[in-house]
Amino acid sequence: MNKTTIFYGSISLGLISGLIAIYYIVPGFDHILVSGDPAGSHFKHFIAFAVLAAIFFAVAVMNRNKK
Amino acid sequence: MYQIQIIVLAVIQGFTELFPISSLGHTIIVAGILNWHNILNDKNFVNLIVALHLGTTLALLIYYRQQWVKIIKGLFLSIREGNIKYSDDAWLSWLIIVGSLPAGLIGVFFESTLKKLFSSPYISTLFLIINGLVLILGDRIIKNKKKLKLRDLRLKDAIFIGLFQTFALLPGISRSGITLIAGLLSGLSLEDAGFYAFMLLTPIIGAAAIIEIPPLLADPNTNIPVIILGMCITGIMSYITTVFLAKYFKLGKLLPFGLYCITIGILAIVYFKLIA
Repeated sequence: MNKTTIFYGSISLGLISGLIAIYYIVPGFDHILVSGDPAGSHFKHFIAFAVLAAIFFAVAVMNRNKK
Repeated sequence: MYQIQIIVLAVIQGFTELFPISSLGHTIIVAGILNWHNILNDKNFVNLIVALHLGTTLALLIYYRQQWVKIIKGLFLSIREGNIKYSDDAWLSWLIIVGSLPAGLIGVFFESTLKKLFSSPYISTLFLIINGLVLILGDRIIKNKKKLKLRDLRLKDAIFIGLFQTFALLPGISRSGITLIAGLLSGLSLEDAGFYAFMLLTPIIGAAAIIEIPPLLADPNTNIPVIILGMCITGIMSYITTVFLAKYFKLGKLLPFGLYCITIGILAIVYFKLIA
């Protein structure tokens, strides 16, 4: 895989992970794959996906075009 | 939960967490033998056990402080320069990140299912025996495999080891033990597999401990000074076991741990079935 593909792939996965993190932290509607109150905020899920987003963005930064 | 129970749990956790013999399994079995059903059914039991791991995390961070400084510097340097070379500190940092992800994600999604297993000493005992058998298998792998250096691992090996680490979410399966075995299967020496297991343990148990502390603090029945004392006890005992294991792994033997797990497992089953 070339660096450009990894860069755009990582940005996409980072954005998806970030959106999933937001999905789990916002209360008021039922969340999937959770225990306890489905409509509450799910902090652990939020942290997990926020960390994942940070890792994907770090990979994207590593593979940026350095001109 | 009584103060003495928290102190006993801290001692067990500190002593057994880094040995490949399952700290959680021992905790549940000892609680079962002592008839401490109040703690096994306490809603904060798992939170407390995980919070005590903060002591273990600090012990590992202190013992491997020089390695961690190099790894973190290497990570930021690799991001800034957009370049990783195999076998340097940055490569090791990415092996740790990739290896930590599977257990972290699976732990978040299957937490409630796994928590149901935590209240059963029988299930912990069964998994402890399985853990022993896996360690004996590992002992045979040590003798057969040719040895790779940790820094020669590929990312797919780190994912493989990380996936193996998810089995440690089961009570009775040792996190360090199962990670060691996966490292050995990937071709590492016992010393390098042990080092990598401890490197993978640190962020996982540290993050889990930090996440579990707020619910404990929110409970009005929580005895914060005793829990802090428990963390200190766990930390001191973990540091001592780290010093011991770092030297022990150079001997390249897992058989004693395997036999120990099987013996304790069988004795615990006999106790629960016939005596208790």
